[in-house]
Amino acid sequence: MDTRLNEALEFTDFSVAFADRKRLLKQQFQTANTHYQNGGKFTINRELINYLDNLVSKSDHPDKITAVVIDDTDNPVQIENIKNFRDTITDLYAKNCNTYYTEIQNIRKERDAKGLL
Amino acid sequence: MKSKGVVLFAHNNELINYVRQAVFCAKQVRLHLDLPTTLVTSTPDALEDTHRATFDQVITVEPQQTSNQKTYRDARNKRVRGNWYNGDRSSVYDVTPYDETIVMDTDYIINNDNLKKCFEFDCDFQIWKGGTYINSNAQFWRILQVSDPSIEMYWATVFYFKKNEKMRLFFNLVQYIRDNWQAYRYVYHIATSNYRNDHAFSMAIHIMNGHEAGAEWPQPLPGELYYSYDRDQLLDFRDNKFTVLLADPNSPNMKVTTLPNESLHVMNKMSLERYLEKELI
Repeated sequence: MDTRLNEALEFTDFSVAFADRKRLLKQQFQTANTHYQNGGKFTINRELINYLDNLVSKSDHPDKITAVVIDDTDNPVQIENIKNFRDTITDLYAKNCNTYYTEIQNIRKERDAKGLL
Repeated sequence: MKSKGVVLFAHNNELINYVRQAVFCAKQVRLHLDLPTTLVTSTPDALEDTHRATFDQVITVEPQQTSNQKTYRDARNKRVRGNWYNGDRSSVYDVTPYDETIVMDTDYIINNDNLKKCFEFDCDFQIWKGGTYINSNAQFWRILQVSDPSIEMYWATVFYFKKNEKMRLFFNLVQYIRDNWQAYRYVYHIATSNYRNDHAFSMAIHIMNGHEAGAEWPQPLPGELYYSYDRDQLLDFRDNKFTVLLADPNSPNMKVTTLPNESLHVMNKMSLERYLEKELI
């Protein structure tokens, strides 16, 4: 086989393996960012964090706010302490972002498909 | 406090030691989910005394009569046929000793604690549809529907349910579909005559949602269903990482992949048998 084609195919193996691992890390990030509370299921994202942050910042007594939040299945879920809820999911999101970043940096260091296994 | 646990069905045939798979499965459940496991089996003699303590309970049931013949593939070219005793999955509502139950195939290897979150979600029935085949080069092999012109495919590989009237009706309906399988498989355009739980569950879900797709019930389990086909071979499982040899649809070559920190449905039972022969001595 021509070396140009051979080299290109070797790179293809690497790029497919890289894409596979990146896809897995993304799915793991999404799974880790699903939070369950009071029977509701919440995908943690910037929109939810921002919304909760607004609720907290507009209140004179942030520790005492009870609010209804719509979950992933479009069900209303009553959350008794919104500040706690916000803090919990914000911390979780930050932790998951850090893990995702570290894992992505690790696979970016690899230079061949074998290193990604 | 409601009781929670896992139920496994294992009926050995002339080819596969499902009870041994169940032992390994229960050990992984204990390790990652910290839940008790009940074994339902018609072949209790296959359970060695040293492994009996792995289970919370062992329920012995009568052997099933079956006309189901399953083709067991081992990689690309090897295949053998054996009896397939899969008709009693829908009896789980009556046999489970738990209020909230996770049911899983014995070839589903738990490798993280994602499933524990199902108990925190207020949904009485959680089951995956779709799933992720770990071979990205062969996504066209993915099974998304029970048949081309038909309904969405739900995987009865793993599911969670809470005992209530709705779930009692659901499992009764699955049993009715099983008892009238030849009629239902024509209605849903299923070519093969074998009864399959995935198909019966998908039909029952479709019927109970008023014959509509995209309903809110059931909800997916937490996390993702990853699976490898019987064309693929499990090479190793250690340090929380699966190593699988994948069939390549475009060439006779095979490629190796790994799956770290995720649970895996290993459909190649022969390769799982080989792994367990080494692992469960």
